[in-house]
Amino acid sequence: MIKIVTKLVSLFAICSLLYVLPLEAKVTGACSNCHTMHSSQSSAPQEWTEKGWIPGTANPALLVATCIGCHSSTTAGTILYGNTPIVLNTLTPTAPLAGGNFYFITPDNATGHANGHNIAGIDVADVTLGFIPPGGTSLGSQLRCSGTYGCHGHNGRQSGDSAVEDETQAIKGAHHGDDTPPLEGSLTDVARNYRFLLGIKGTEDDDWEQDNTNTSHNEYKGSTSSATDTISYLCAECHGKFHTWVGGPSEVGTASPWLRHPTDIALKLTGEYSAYTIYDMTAPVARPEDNYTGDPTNVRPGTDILMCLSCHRAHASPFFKMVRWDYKSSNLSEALSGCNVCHTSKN
Amino acid sequence: MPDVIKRSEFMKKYLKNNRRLIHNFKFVSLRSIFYALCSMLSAHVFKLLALSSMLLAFLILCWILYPDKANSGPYLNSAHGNSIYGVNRPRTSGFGYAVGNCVHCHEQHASIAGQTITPYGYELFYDHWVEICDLFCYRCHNQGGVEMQVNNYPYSVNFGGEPLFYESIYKQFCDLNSTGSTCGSRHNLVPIRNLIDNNAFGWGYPADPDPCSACHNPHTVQRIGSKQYHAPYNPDKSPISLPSEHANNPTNLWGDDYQVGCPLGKKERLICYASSVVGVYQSPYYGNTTGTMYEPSGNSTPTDGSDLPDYVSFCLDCHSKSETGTKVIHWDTSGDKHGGKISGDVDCGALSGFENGDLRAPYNDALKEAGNNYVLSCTDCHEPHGAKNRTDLLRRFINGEAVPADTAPCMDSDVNDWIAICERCHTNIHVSFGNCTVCHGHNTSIGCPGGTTRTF
Repeated sequence: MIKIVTKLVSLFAICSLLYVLPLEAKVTGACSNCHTMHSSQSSAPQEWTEKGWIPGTANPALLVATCIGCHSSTTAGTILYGNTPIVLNTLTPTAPLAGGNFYFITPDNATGHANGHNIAGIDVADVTLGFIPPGGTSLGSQLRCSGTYGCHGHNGRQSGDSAVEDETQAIKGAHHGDDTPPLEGSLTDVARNYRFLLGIKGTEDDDWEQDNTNTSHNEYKGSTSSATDTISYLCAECHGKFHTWVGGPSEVGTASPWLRHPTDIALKLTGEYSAYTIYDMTAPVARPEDNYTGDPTNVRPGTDILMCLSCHRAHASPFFKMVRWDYKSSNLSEALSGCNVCHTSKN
Repeated sequence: MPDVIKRSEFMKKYLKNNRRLIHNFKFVSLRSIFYALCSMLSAHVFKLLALSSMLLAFLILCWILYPDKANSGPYLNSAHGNSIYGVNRPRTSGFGYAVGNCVHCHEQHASIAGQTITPYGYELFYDHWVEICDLFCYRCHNQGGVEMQVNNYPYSVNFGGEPLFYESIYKQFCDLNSTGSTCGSRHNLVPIRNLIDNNAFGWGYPADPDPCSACHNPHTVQRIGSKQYHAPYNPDKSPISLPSEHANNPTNLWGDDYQVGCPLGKKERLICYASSVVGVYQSPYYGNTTGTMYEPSGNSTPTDGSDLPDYVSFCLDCHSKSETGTKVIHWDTSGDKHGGKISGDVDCGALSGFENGDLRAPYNDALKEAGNNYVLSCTDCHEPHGAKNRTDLLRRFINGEAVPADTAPCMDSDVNDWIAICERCHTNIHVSFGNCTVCHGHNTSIGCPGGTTRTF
């Protein structure tokens, strides 16, 4: 009897480690995992990077690393160091997370310069685009993770938000904040936003779609009006001409025939679109609800919403222009495989 | 030991001698039986494995040879989505997109790698409609196309055997010889647009529609041709779609679905229309009048319209509507005599004595003599796009013979110009009543005691 109880307790403990810990989003653990008091444990200041500990410079907020340092790895793993999402691997990532992986734009993958956002510290500025995001105006500087020139934290691109140039300062407090859903898209508390994207709502998958299954995935917020809390609006902060409501009638149009592919519009209930009813990780849809709790495998034509991430990864993908599938494949079936998720009769 | 004997009996009963691994039954055990059964099973499994491996190898070979067919649907089976001769624009092929990729027509953001273009409706790279001779399709369907130079010859060339002329769609619509000033004609795209726009008749076309899309679905349209160009002629391919199916059956091509007996859903050929109006179809000669080649394939058979799309139903989709000035055609049993109306001699009592044009081959055959009513296809006489120096979209090559150019004054007031058309199928052309149009034309009747008689 004692043995059985012992086994059950052990099993429970293992399950707790395997399944409970990943649910904890707020950073936990020893302070020294992320912070260093003097940045002088060795003879010279040390910094944690994707290459490991290297001589470096002291970082703001006493951090041992920059954003990239902590969210990168020399392995192929994509959730490491407890529960840190890895967005930059120096080896081909075995299971890239929902945003994709900057591996695909790095010099380690030299053909992929146009496969993602060219973040300072990971890649040089886009050799073709410079500082000008397609569909927008010049950032004036190379793209960064956060802040004035980035996507996360206070970039000043939401009405009522003020830009903070320093990347760390721009997401100050976010890693220690309470990000328990539902996330309301706060302009003052970065932690209360989907993936620290200021003003944006949504629900994070426990493993950020590492398992890439439609039974558990991120739920992105979409809208069929000019709402500013959608994941596509976040993209439109820089790529405005490509967004239905930001680009407006002259850039995208107001109805079919669209001038550019619309985003933040409902998947049509009629015609070929009505056949998209099972959530497809190749071309996912957003939800109009702030905190969708319905069946994750369902797609509701007429209700669910097209978004930028229906076709693109946020960070980088193995494919040209960070498309979610190989739109440039020489095999047309493969090239059109993502289009055909919605355009079901165009296969 | 009795237990062992039982097992031995089992072995004797179920195992053939040549399959026995254990010959001394005294030592038979459960394990040995298991081995024996495995041996039997493996012999069959090997065969199955070999067969499945061969099948798998065959499938892999097919996939390598025809990768796009592995999961092909309407678009990948279409002319535009073909990986060899499909759409392929220089700007987008320069970025490495494969032939047939959507991006060659649709630029989702009107911007690739920082190179932006003006965005147009349907995310096209050019406006789908500016005016009759300036529209998206001509960027490629034009012998001098800006993006591609696609040759598509007139119907009478492809399916009638006429020598080459008018090598592109653009030319058929926009060449000076297709305009009224030269007695030419073209299918007027403006009333087509006006007829179908704003979801007219519930067909589902938008405001400001692409007029070409009235007849052609760019995502399903298939390449089809005659011996001269894209041999062999394949009636199971079709370049046309019914306008009335634009919304409710959008991927259906018109003319490709046929089965003997014309069952529901398989009656898209002219033989089916002809039988629906109690008539028969006879294919015109192709290329010459020797009687060895017939439209549309240029083959000797079939000649009954079983390989020809039902162009009557197709054209009547619009030409049964009077809106926007569309010419209404009556082709059923109470309509024109070239259609379902019985085409017997005109005989109306006091008015009898009218001359009748006798028929020429291949229409003067036993079927006709037996009283069968020939039902023509619109395309037997008309071009769908444009006619060079001929009014009313009339072909320059009918029933295997050339038709001379119309000359001023243009056809409707010139009896000789009419005769040049009619005598392709008729003899004894009469002119005693003056110009042909006095009595003949679509929807033209003459009064007879007890009713009227169609004269065309």
